[in-house]
Amino acid sequence: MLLKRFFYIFLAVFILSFLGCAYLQTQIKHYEGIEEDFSSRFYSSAAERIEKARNEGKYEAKDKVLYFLDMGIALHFAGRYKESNQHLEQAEIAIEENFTKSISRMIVSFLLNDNSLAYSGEDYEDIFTNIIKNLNYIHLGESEDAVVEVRKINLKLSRLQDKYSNMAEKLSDSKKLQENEADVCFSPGEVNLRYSITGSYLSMLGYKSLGKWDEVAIDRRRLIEASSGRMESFSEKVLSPAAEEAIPVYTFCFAGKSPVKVQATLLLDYDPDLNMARVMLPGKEKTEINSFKYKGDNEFHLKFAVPEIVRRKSRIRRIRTLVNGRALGELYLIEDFGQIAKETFKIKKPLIYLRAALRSLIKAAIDAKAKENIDKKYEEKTEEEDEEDKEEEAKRRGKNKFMAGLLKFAVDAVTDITENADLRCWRTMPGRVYGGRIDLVPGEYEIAFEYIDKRGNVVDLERKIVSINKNGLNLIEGVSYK
Amino acid sequence: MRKLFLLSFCLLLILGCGGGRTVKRIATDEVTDLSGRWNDTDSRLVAEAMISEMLARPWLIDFEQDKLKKPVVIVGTVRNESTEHINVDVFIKDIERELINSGKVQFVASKGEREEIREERMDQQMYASIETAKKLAQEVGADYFLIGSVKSVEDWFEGKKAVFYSVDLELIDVEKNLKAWIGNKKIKKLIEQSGYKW
Repeated sequence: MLLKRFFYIFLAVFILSFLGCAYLQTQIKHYEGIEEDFSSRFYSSAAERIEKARNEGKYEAKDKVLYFLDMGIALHFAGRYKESNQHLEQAEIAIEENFTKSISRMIVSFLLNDNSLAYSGEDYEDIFTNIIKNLNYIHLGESEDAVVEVRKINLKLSRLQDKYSNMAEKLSDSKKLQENEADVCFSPGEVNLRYSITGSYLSMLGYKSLGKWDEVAIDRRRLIEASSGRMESFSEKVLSPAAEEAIPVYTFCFAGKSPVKVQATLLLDYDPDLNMARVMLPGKEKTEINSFKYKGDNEFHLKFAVPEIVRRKSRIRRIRTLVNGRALGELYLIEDFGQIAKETFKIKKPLIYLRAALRSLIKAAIDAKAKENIDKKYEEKTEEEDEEDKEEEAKRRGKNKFMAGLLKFAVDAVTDITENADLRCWRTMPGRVYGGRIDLVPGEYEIAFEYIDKRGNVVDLERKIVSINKNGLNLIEGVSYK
Repeated sequence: MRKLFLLSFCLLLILGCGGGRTVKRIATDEVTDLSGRWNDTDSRLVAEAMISEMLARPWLIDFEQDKLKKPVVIVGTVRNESTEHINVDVFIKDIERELINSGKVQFVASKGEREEIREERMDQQMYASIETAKKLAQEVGADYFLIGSVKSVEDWFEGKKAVFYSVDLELIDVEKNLKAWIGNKKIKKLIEQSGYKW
């Protein structure tokens, strides 16, 4: 009987493993090599690794958005702009498709966890896709298409504002109902989703290159508004006329890595034999365990796992531009994606937490019921053995208790294995963006970007030979993931 | 335990289901609205409608009566001012085809094509026989210049998207810089995406 039960449990575990680890927890191991390549500027090699990871099944169909985003950015920095655009276009389509939620996947996500849902990208990732596409078109010299991407950014931002306002309205209404029409109001937070600073900045440059000054003025206003006035003097400098014979050259650099999601876990355990409950908070180095006396009837095991956004350390604090070896000023911080990620996550957080809490409670209830059944069977078994020899009975009882303990351990293991936070995010996205302007006479130059740490040491240097043309938008891009 | 097994089996079934890919050949003029974006059908229908409207307007009769010949037209730039990546070259070709096939106007090769042909003509002066080499400075100058733009306005709410395309074409008298005709064609699409699927 017990062996039969073991068989079912192991069969269930086998099927769950067959579904793939990706359905149970976020796969990030394959990013180690990819991120190393990004830091070392081996972008083509990173693209190869991403493709290899896909062939090895590291990017499941539900994670296709991540594959396209990772490939898109690797190809962008590798200078393969057309290919990058193709992948990013696919990412955008996949994000749009994922608006339609799969009921079957939702059911599975409620039984397993959010990792089984199709990844539809964070809102800031969706917008960043268009920023990279815009840069791709600028590098390809297709200014009209570059502006299309800017229009898409503005469109997406206004959609997001509508989406979150609507979400806030619904939540506010439900709260009012709950609190007997009390004057409770939910606001979508202090997040200014209306305009992306980087999007507005690139839009301003794009329209300037097309000579559309009305649009330039609108974008400048948006830029100032979105940055709470911080970008006023910078935008003025960017738009000021160039010195005689010289033309404006825009420097645009990415630095650091995007924030990532990490799992915050809480484990709750109750053993009625010991009348003791334990709260465990697994940390990076050690698990914090707090025990307290509690009297209850049933065994209880609960795992609550939710994602948290954390910034990744970057040594870069400043970026200096050198033209033919001569320092020509520093770049200005335009936007910190880490901050945006944290703020936009704040909006989604209540829903994610609520879903995780409900799922944890359901799993805990199933877990408790399964243990109750195991206990019942175990007791039945001992009753049947009443007439047996006492020594034999004690032996069998001990054996059964051991088997029941093993079964309960297996039940807890299934709960723990299946309950994990969804940590998927665009890990290869840069963390911050800087911009600047220098005036140069058309010709060929060696332009270098010095990435400087807080002590003033150059931690990374990027050199490139560029040709400055009289026509079009002269934008020089740099990146360091250090 | 059986329930747990059944549950896992159901998960496997749910996640394991997927459709294959099929390919079918269809007529090139068949309407295929898949994503809701600007497509070949929009390009063709707009070009047909706008050119037939353009050729039905008084500027054509006025020109023919005045000059006693068919006007020579050239298609210039059609700017994409929409929120989509529209292949304007396809649209320009559709316009050119409609104009030529109408038989009511003569048509000059585009700027890029002209440059290529000029190169060929120069080449002929060096390498072709005198009898077959084409003469220089014999090109026909265009009487009218056709330019335009494609603009779009999008409205989106909870899975419903309304896209409004406005295509403007302007015919300009090359000699006098007078606008001989202005045409506009609008397309409105409603794209619905359901919030849920199985």
